[in-house]
Amino acid sequence: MTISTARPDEVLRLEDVHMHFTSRRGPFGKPKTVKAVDGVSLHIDRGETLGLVGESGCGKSTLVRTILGLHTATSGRIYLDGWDLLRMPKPERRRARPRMQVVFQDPYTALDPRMTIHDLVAEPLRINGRYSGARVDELLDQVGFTREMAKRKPAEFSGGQRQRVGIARSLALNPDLLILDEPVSALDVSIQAQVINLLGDLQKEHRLAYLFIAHDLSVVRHLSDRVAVMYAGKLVEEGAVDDVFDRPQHVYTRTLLAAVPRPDPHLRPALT
Amino acid sequence: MAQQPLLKVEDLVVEFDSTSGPVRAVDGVSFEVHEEEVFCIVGESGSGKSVTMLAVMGLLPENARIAGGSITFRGRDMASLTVSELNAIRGRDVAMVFQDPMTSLNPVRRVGWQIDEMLRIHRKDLSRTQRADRVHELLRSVGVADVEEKARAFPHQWSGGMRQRAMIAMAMAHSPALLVADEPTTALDVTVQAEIMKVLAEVRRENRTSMILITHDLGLVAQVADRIVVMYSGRVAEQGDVFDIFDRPSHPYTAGLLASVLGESSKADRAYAIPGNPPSPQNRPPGCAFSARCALAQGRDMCTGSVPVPVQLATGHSAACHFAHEATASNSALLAVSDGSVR
Repeated sequence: MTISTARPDEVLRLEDVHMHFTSRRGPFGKPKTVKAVDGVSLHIDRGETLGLVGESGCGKSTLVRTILGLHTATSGRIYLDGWDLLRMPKPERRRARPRMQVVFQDPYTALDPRMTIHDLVAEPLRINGRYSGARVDELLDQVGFTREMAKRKPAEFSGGQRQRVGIARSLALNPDLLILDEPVSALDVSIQAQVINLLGDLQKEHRLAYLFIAHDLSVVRHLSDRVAVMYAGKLVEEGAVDDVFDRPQHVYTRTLLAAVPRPDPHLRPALT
Repeated sequence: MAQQPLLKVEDLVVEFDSTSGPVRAVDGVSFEVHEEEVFCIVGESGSGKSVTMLAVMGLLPENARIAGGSITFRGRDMASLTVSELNAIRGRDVAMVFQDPMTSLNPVRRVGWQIDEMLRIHRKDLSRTQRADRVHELLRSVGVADVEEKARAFPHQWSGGMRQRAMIAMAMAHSPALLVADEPTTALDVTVQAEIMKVLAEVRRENRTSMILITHDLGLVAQVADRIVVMYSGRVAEQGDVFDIFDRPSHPYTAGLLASVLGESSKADRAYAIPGNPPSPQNRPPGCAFSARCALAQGRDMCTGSVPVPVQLATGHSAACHFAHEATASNSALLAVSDGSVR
C-alpha cells in the first residue's frame, strides 16, 4: 500500500486523474474516447473548503464519482488521508470509504420516504455496526432536530429540513471529507442561508474538509477558501477565493463571472 | 401610463381540491401589467407565483379552479371566454415559455415541425413555403445559425440553451403582446442564461412585447425588471418598480429576501437567514402569513389577528404590512434577529 508524502493536514489529494470513456458506434465503428476528466490535480486540507465550479458537462460530476470510486479512474492517483485509494486492496478500501461522505443536491429524492428521520440517520451507523440511539440523537441535535421530530417521516418536513437530515446522515461515521454536490441549489433563497451557515458551523466544529460543487457562484464565494474552475475536463484556474473572483486569469473564468447577474438594479449593463 | 393595462388581475383566488377540503394556493392577488414592460413575479416555491400565471393562461390542472376575482386581458374578461375564444388568444396574443425546454418539446418531432405547428394552427392563410420561410426567420431571430439544417434536427440533437431558443422562437411566432416566461433559465448554466436573456430582450424589443418573468433569482430581477411583485404564501407581499423594491423594501419579507442574497460576502461573514420556514397553503396562519418569521410582528396582536391590506407608500409602490410605514423608517428593524443558526 502506498502512502503519499502528504502534509499531516491534507485530507484529499488528486494527482493527474484521468477518467476516459470509450464507446463504439455500431459493430464496425471506430472507438471514440471522451476525456470526461482530463488530468485533474488538487488537494484539500482539514478544515478547508475547495469550491469546484464549471458548467454542466464540464466533468464535475464525473470527477466526484471518480473520487468516490463509482468510476475506476483511467489513470492518476487519489489519496484520502494519505491512503492511495486506487492501489489499495479492496477490503482496506472499504474501511477507508466511510471517511468521505456525500451530501446530495435534491433532499426530496435522497431520503427514503418510508423511513423515519431517526432510522435515516441511524442507517449508516447500523450498516457499520456502530448504532447507538444516543449517537443518532446527538447527530440530529447538531442539525436542529428534536427527538420528537425524529419519529416523523421526511414528507412532513420542508426541503431545508430534509437537507439537514442529509447532512446529519453524512456526519454519522465521523468523516474527514464531505463532498457537497449542489447542497443548496434545490432550496429556496430564504432557506439557503440557514443551510450554508449550518455547513460553516459544522466545518469549524469538526475541522471537516469540504469539496463544494455548485453552479451558484455567490454561494461558492461565501463558503470556499479556494476555488477551482473546471472546463472541458481540465482545471483551468485554481486559487484563493478572492483572487479568482476579483482577479480572474483565465478567459473562461472571466466569462463565467461576467455572466452572473448582479442583484443591484443600479448596476445594469447599458442597453445595446 | 394612463392607458388601459394590457393585463389586469384583480383579487384572484385559486383553490385546489384536497382530501381535507379546498386549499387556497392563491389568495387575493392583484396586479397590472402594462404595454412593453418587464414585470417580474418573485417568490419562493409554494408562493403561488406559477399557479397565478397558469390561472391567467387558463392552464390550471383539473383539481384547481378560479374561486374568485377577475383576469382581464385588453379589457376582455378571460373567465367569460369560450375555449375557442381562449385558444385564439393563447399562442397568438399571449405566449408562454416554460422552465424546462427538455420536457416542453416533443422528442419524436423535428424542431422545425414543432415551430411550424404554431403557424399551422393560427395562420391558415400561409402556404407551406411561406411557413417554412417564417420558421427559418424565427430561428434566425433567436440567434440560431444554419437554420435550414437545424430545423430538420430533433430536440435531442440540440443543447439545453438551444432548445430554450426554440421555445422562444415558438412563443414569438405571432409577435404576442404578452410573453409569460416561467423560470426560463433556471435549468441552464449561467453563461447560457446570459445568452437567453439577451435573446429575450431582443425579440421583445423587436415585437414590442411585454414580458411577465417568474423567477426566484433576485440577480436576474435586478437586471431586467421594470416592475416587481413579491409573493409570499399565495398573497402579494409588496409591489413597486425595481428601484422601490431594491432601494426601499417595505415589507419585512422583501427586506429579508434581499438581505439573504450573498452577493460578494465571504466565509468570514455570516449569511443572513430569515428564521423559520414558509407555511404551506394548508397551514397558513391567521392574520399575516409572514408574522411567525417577522421582526415587526413579535408580540403584536394585529399581525396574527387580521390579514394586512396593501399600504400605499408611493405611486405604484405598496406593501401588505400593518406596519409598512414603520418599516420604511429603518431597514435594519425589518430583519428578524437571527444568525441563521438552527440550534
